[in-house]
Amino acid sequence: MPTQKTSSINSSAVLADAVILSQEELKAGFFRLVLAAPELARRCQPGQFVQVRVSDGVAPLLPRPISIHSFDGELGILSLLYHVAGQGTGKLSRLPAGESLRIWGPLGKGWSLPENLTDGSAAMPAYVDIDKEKTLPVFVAGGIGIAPLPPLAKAWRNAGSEALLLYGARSAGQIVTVDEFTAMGVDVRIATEDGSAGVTGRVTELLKELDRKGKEPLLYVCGPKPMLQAVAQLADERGWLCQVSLEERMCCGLGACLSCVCKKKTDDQKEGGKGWTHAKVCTDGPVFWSREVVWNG
Amino acid sequence: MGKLNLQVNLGGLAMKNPVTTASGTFGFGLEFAPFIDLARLGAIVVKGTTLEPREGNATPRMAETPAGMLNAIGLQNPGVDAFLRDYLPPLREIETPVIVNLSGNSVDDYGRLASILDGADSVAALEVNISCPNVKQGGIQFGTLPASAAAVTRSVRENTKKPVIVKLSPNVTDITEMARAVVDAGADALALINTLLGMDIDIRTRRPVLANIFGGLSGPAVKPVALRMIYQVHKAVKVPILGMGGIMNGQDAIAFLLAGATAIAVGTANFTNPRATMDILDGIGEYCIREGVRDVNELIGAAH
Ligand SMILES: Cc1cc2nc3c(=O)[nH]c(=O)nc-3n(C[C@H](O)[C@H](O)[C@H](O)COP(=O)(O)OP(=O)(O)OC[C@H]3O[C@@H](n4cnc5c(N)ncnc54)[C@H](O)[C@@H]3O)c2cc1C
Ligand SMILES: Cc1cc2nc3c(=O)[nH]c(=O)nc-3n(C[C@H](O)[C@H](O)[C@H](O)COP(=O)(O)O)c2cc1C
Ligand code: FES
Repeated sequence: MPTQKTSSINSSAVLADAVILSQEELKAGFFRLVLAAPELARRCQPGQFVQVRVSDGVAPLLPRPISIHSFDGELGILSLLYHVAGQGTGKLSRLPAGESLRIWGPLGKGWSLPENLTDGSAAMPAYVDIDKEKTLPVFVAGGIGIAPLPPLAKAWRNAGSEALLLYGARSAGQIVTVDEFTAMGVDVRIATEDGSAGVTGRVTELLKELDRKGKEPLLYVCGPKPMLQAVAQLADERGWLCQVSLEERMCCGLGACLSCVCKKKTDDQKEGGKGWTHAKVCTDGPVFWSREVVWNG
Repeated sequence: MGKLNLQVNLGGLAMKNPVTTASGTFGFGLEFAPFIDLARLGAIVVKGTTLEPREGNATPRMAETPAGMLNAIGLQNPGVDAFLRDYLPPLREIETPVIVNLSGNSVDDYGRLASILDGADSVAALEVNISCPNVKQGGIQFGTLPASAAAVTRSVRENTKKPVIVKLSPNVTDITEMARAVVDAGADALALINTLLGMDIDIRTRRPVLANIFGGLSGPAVKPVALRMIYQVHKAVKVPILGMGGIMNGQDAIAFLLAGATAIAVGTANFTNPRATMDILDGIGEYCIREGVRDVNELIGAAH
């Protein structure tokens, strides 16, 4: 695993009453929300998330963690992409433009990028000692897992790198924002389980046929856990580097409540240790190297 | 009108104002530093600490409920040595007393923890958790039997000169019996309430939501229970009370003071608003000014 040079913590998080600039239903149940939050937008890094307080009262009580889908520090705006899962996201989807929404962030440790990759605009997250010239970034998304990928794709594309998006979903109705990636010049491949768009099957099928273009693939994966696990396993078999963005139930999002843990490998087994520890998805992640994660158990 | 006095004394612990944080909801303090001025807090109560490190329970560890939440963290913590080495030093820089919440598997564990923490100058007081519903050992059984609650308290008392605050479990029939038992055993103050044992079931999977099956209920849903217990305990014993359970704003905090709390702790509200402690402190000040209260101590137990 490449060594990480820095890691971002919540030291730059802010609380904002963000004004809703627009709220758009892209496909049934999938929404894009654009918010004005200048201070927050300036601090974002690819792969981070915000906590969104959907109500002023007690229903729902807790904030919802939502990935930052795009940010523009100069314009002072950011966008979120979400699908309606229940009460909180349902309520969020009914908020009109002009209303304000309490959010805080940016939170968490986002995607790691090669040290020699600079984007010029945003401050970059945790750098790693891999060479971008020899690396092919491959973004792998499952359903709404597409949400945190555009800022990452933008960073790689701005640095002049080729990039690939492999996007899987149950059906065409769950494929959103593809044009954002094609507009950036990202090569997009789609797989749907029912064959209603792209090839029929799972995203792992696309990955198996990956054209490496003479480079070392670096996978950036976000989606449902079984998908993350399948991609991580394939990456492991082929010796590819792979980062995954995990999800867990969160309360604070700040590393304080310990509700969001995942099992992360440790090398203490030789000394009689159990070989894992509970890491916090909200502050040690959400992005982890796939080889750090204990997938079963 | 003269200056408003917000200073209170919690069983020997002098606090610049009555606002503290509820253990387990505020990490080790610095997690909230981007949002609030930690030096404005009356005290910081940190995550429950045990002798050895603990990994806690399996996930899911949290579930939202109507006006509340269930948690089954299971006292995940780095252990007392790592706490003293890694987490306490940065807290020392802040002009706010640090209260350490401690838990053990046996009466002896509590005594050993107390003596270790007694040696740490920058620990201002100990909050003894005899009421965690989420660990099989060392949790609830100490907090539901007066004799064992008293034994734990005595063991801590004998091993520290610092103020001892005993945190009571609400999962009992008669809270005043527990309060009397620990006060007789040497508690300088009482903290209440810890979470109420509860559960939720996912009707789709037909399984309990939490991996641990049961969890502790906190948040606005528990406020009436907390107020009732504080009111009862204030009548029953003489020691000061650190009140908590569903405090979301300044008005809630005032109600706790009126019921008999000397200081209050903010828990679940930290999750809904990372500035909650500051807003609550401001709210207490605003109430006092509006109501012509010059000293916050006038409010303590005023509802009786
Ligand atoms: C770091 C992070 C980033 C996320 N980014 C996005 C995003 O960009 N877009 C998006 O649509 N969703 C995202 N999610 C998931 C999102 O937080 C949940 O869908 C949301 O909290 C559900 O809230 P609700 O009130 O609508 O549903 P609820 O009524 O709370 O629950 C409905 C169902 O949703 C599922 N659920 C609840 N909470 C979570 C959770 N924290 N993670 C996963 N599933 C959950 C459960 O299966 C539950 O039964 C992210 C989650 C995390 C942890
Ligand atoms: C996530 C979480 C973790 C907690 N951990 C502890 C703990 O380690 N020790 C303890 O004494 N109480 C713990 N508690 C209980 C709180 O300190 C407090 O007593 C309770 O939440 C009621 O207050 P509230 O309704 O304001 O949250 C925890 C509560 C929550 C929600
Ligand atoms: S959500 Fe609180 S520690 Fe991660």
